[in-house]
Amino acid sequence: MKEAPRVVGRGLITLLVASFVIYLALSLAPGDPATALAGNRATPEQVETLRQQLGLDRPVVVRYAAWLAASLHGDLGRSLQFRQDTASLIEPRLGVTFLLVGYAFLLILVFGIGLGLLPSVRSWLSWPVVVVTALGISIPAFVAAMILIQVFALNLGWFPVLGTSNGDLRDQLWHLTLPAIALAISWVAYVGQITRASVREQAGKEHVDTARGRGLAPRAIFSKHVLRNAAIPIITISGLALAALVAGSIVVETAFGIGGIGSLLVTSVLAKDYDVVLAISMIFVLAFVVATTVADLALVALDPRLRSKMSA
Amino acid sequence: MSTLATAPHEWSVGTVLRRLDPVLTVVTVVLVALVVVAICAPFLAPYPPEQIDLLDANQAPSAAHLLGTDSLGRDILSRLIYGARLTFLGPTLIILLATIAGVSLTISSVWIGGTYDRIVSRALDILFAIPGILVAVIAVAIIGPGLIAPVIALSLAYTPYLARVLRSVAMRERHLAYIEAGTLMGLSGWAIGWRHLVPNVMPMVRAQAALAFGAALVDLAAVSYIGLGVQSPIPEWGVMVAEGQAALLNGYPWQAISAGIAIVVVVLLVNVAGERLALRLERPR
Repeated sequence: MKEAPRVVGRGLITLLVASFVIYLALSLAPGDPATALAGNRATPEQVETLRQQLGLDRPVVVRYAAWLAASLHGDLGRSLQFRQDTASLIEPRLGVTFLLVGYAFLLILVFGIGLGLLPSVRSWLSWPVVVVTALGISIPAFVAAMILIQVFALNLGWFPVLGTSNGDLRDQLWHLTLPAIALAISWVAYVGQITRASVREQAGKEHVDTARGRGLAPRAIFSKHVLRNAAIPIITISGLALAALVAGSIVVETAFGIGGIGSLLVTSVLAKDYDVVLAISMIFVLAFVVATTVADLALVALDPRLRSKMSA
Repeated sequence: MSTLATAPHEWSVGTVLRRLDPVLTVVTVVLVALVVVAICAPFLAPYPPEQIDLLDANQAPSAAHLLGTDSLGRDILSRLIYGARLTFLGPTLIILLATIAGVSLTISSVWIGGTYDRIVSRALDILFAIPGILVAVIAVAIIGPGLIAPVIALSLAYTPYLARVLRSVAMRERHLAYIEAGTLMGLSGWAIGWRHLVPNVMPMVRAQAALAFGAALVDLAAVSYIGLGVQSPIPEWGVMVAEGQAALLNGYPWQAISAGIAIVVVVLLVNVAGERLALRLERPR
């Protein structure tokens, strides 16, 4: 695939510019890290020395370049709140967030696409699917969290109310089930809508009628002519969904008291712990760019027409 | 235009009724009613929204308190009615700002083209890569918690979304004959853009703005829910869900559930309105 470098290059440029914009924005935040680090008893001279040590007297572009170089070597600065390296603070929480997002993404693929395909299997299911997806799209993750906690944790007692587990993977997944459902619910509905609409549109195309006229087996028509074309918007939306799930972890981790990077971002903003805010923001943007780039690459692999269009 | 010949029938009761979309009409009426309720909150709410009554805390729904009371004994229905004000005002501001920015950027870049168009498109692409809620959180880190930071941030975040959908429509319109006619008549680009191009993309803008309104409402309420937006004791639905969560865990679910359902109902209505408006575009009268 000779288009791959182009797609990846575009992703890298987006990442670079977006990270600079975020760096610039956060450098506008009030409060001086040098004063905060030096503590209350520091003299103005000590603060000034610290400011020079930290490089805060240099222009923002230079500081950004230095930050970028350091972060590529795994140095993400220091957390004022936890008095710890940002990298070692984030690392264990990253796994929790990725597990949550991966779990939710799996739910979206299975139930979202499944829901959208139901009407083509049983046509009387078309209306119920329309109603269920319209309702599902309108349920925000934190509202879903309340309903799930009330019903499945408090009333039925099937799942734990809050928190994460330090146990084995099975126990962790058990703790993350309600959060993953809350995170996934509106995207399951959205992917379901897109899948249904896309399959319907493709099934009405002339080449499908022709295939039917030629007497091809319905199953073969569906997989080779309908599904393959219908997959294009589904893949794009799935890429966006994956990216949005990572950002959605901010809300869901707070709702369920999960110690991932999403809830850490919220506490860091409230504590004005800017190195941590910066690092986590970058991880979110990185996740977005990776997810959309992978979706773009999948599209190129699937649709030969896009190959010539993209390299044109 | 052939409207002259049909003009007498255009507005007859029968034609208007046939042209009305019943679903869209019902949804619009309900939404307008909710906005009226929010505006008339002082006359409709049975209790002042911040009136604390600890002896009456965590009451289940009853005749005195139709939706029960919260952990400080405040009337949940009254807080819901007052809370509707900020809950509606925030997304309205966001969509208004994002639509103005999105329409002007798209129309100008489609009209001017060239390098300007490329720069605007790339800038919007990059903005699109930063999730809305993250933009809001970063804005709160800079400006501080409240309504202002998330509203500004989400206006920015929704601009590329609205611009993107508009672009294809604007591109198509740009190359239609009436635009060329305007140019030949010596109209300025500004006049053609604002008097002819903008009115013609407006139906599309309305549909997308309605769909974006629901998403903006959810994002803004989520920011309040995680404690970075509107702060208690100001009533707002996201704040109410957050405050209600503590009560819910103690066995008093009324506040969290009623505020949550209120959000779902409004978002559902707005989404249906947006879908219907979009549907009308596909099937021109």
